[in-house]
Amino acid sequence: MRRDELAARQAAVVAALLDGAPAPAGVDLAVARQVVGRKRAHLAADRRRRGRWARVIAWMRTVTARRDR
Amino acid sequence: MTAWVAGAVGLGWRPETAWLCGDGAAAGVDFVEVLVESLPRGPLPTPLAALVDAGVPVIPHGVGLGLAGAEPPSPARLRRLADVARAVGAPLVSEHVAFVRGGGREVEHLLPVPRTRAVLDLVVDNVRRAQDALPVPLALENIAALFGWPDADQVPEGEFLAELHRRTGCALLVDLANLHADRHNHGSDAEAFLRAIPPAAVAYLHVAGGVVRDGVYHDTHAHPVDRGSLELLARWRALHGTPPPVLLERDARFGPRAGLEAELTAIAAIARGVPHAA
Repeated sequence: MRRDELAARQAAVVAALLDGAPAPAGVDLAVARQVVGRKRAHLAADRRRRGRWARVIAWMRTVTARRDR
Repeated sequence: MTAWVAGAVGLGWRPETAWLCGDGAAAGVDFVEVLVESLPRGPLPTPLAALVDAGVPVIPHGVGLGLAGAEPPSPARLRRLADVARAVGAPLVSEHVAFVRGGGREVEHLLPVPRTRAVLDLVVDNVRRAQDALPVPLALENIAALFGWPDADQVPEGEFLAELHRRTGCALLVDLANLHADRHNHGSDAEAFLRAIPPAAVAYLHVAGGVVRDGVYHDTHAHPVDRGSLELLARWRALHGTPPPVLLERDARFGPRAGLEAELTAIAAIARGVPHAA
């Protein structure tokens, strides 16, 4: 199998999982759609949470630096 | 000082488990594994740096290389893995036999490839590129497959990994929880897998917990290590003798210290072949 052939098969799976495109022939993605969807939602929430903390920490550093000047 | 020896037991280092890992041998943690993609850039987190200073082996574990992907592994990702390996003085690094992106997009999950000889050739090429870029040996892990491919000419997973080891010299990381998941979800032959793997090639083992939902076993890393993983650990010992180091993966629902310590104790008892009231 050439790289471009494997790339096409993998891209088809990704499109099915992320866009709801039809699964490649002979591949049952029912469980994968659930698991990947749930995990991506969890990771997105985690990134939002970390982003909020990063903003709080940046604000605290700014305030501390201003106080110490 | 702890040791990287057969029968050793480790725990996945996370900010939430740093306090337990930091107690080292007192908590039954002989080594740790750290997720490379979750580490902040810059200096190591202080608790992790303290472990390195104390001589606790730290294994960088990657999830983003996509070594079974159609594209060769990214030089930038390999540099990052190499940098972390140097920063923690790692004896080795580990990754998965999986693809994680396609069509230029990230899936954020480990996905299986068809285990054909032709795909094996591509994976071997990817692994050799990675090995050339890394300062320490690379160990490759079996994943829990969310689906199977219909290709008729696939080889069993244990043989696929054994051949990958033979052709690249890579070490192997056998995830017993993933093996259990595939046995439950796809009827995979875990016994054949364990017999096909050359035990001397296995750097360490993973165990973890999961949950069954709607008849499907989910490898959550958020539940106590389950009977399936522990049975396979005992089976490893029966087939091959004292197992290599065993690491408990936990990513969420860490629970009280006593719970994790009890899990580590149970794992150590099975790995070392000593009686334990589970």
